[in-house]
Amino acid sequence: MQEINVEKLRNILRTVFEIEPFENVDFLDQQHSCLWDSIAKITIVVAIESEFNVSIATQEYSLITSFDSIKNMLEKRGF
Amino acid sequence: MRIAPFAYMEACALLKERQPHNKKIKIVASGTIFQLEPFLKAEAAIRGINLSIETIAFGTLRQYLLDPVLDRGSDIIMLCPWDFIGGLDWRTGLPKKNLEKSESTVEIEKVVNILKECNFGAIFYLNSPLQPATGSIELLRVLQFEILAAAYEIGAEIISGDAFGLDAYLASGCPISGSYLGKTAQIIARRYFDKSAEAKKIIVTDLDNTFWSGILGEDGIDGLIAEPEGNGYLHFIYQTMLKRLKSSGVLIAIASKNNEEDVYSALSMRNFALKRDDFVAIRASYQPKSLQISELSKSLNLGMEHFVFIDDNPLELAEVGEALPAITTLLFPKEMTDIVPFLDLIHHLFPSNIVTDEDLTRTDMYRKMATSASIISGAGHSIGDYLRTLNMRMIVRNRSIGERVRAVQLINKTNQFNINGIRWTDNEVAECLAQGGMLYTAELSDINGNHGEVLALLIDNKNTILSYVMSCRTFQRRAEFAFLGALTLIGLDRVCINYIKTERNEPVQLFLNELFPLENTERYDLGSNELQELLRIEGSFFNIVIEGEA
Repeated sequence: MQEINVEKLRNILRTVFEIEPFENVDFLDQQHSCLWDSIAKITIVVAIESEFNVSIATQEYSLITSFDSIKNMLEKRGF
Repeated sequence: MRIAPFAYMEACALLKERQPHNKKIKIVASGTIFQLEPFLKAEAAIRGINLSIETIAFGTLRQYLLDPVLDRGSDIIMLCPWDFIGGLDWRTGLPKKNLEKSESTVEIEKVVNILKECNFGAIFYLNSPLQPATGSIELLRVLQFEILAAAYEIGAEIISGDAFGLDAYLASGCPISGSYLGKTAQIIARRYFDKSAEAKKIIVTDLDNTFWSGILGEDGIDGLIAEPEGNGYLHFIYQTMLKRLKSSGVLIAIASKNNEEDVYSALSMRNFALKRDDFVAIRASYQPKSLQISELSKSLNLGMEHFVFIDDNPLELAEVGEALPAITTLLFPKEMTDIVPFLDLIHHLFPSNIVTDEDLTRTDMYRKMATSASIISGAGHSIGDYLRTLNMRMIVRNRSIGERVRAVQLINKTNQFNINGIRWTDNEVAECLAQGGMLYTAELSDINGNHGEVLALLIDNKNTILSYVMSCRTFQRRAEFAFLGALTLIGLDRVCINYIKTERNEPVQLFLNELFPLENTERYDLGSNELQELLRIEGSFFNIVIEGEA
């Protein structure tokens, strides 16, 4: 995935979870973060759809569980 | 006025700033709409409003509508097709039996009657696709149109079905897809927050590369393009839009940096959509446009809040916007792909109404009221802060030796900023240089790109400027002042300017008036102190680089 898009994804997670700029978010996942609830998942989807101008299919919502899985999903879309 | 809708990150960044006014609204819908909040709050923020949003619980819209005691005057309601006919809801799947026309029509009417009693602040209807809940596609289409008609009947603003996201609706209950939330918020904001703004009554349009393609002072009347083909299409569409607005009672005026006679000639001799008489007023001079528009405001007795100013030059918009903050400024699009949002915005600022007899004669009526144009003296508004944001770079080159094609071309094709209008052949320039004269150019670049060599100066061996020209592309940047100051960096400690007035070079007169406000002559001398001062003040807007042998 292009580095500029990786950084965009990082900034999305920093904004959604109100994390300071430049903090490492690559480790974030739903299993280990109590903040990653259903509302956060929907907000992440909204942000990705808005920033990357894509549509996340219903079946892809299950992939919105970690930085890595989201990155893989976007990579498969050519970003 | 912002044209592009917000994306998520930009909206969130804007929300970190505190705004001067607080407002609380309630948005009701049968689905979830918290996803819209950051975008709508950002739209409110650019209007100076800290917005707090209240919503109702998912799936409780019907109860909300039936509650008799609620005051809904400040509420916004967003409706979907299934709010009119329950069996159309994608989330509940297809109904057990096909929807019938008569029952569906009764259901729609019941909802319309309830909504009419509610008196909302604003109503929006998302014209989304319908799930196949009927026995035939034809009946489905009929129901779609009936619901749409009902939405119009209750005064709803229609949101295109393109905004509907079935995935988003099924997964989260929000019927708007993520990539359309910014646009949807923009539509809501314009309807809800801007509805009480002062109605706009007049468009003031620029001419060069706005009303027409081309520059009148450089290309001449025949060089202007606004036909329905090629480069002209953008301007043709713009002109026909202005014509239609004029016919519906909107006043159209011109504020242009051109000679007045040239403008009158162009409007008379060319077959544009608007003729001279279609304009309530024409202001064509080299005075700052903020002064031209101020004078228009006084002569037409219209407040600035009624004005919309359209220009292709961001510098002109910045100057006018700073001097006249109540005015709405719009950047004329450069590409055909940008014309649709531009026209949408104008349609929003000048919504169509029923045309009255008074509308048809409004232009004539205001034209009679207007006083004659008077020469306005003044420098307009300083745009120094804006100029600094451009990060302009000026590269000064000595063209006395080697390549000078562009410099000679500039001298021979520039009309407006040309100190004497004298044309020089390449041989004549060569002879001047052979006798100790010098030829300098300046290349200008900024955050928008490289404008190329836009200034040329030919000076003889006695420091008399024989030719000084600047491309009209770079007006308003103070480059003509800075370049003179930059001459001190290459060893010149004085220059003499011999000015000859021509039909087209009024910008030079204004330049000299600013340099020598107390003088009105044909010969102007600038000594070392004056040149150094120009470098210090006007050169501060540029990163000046001297290239090549000075």
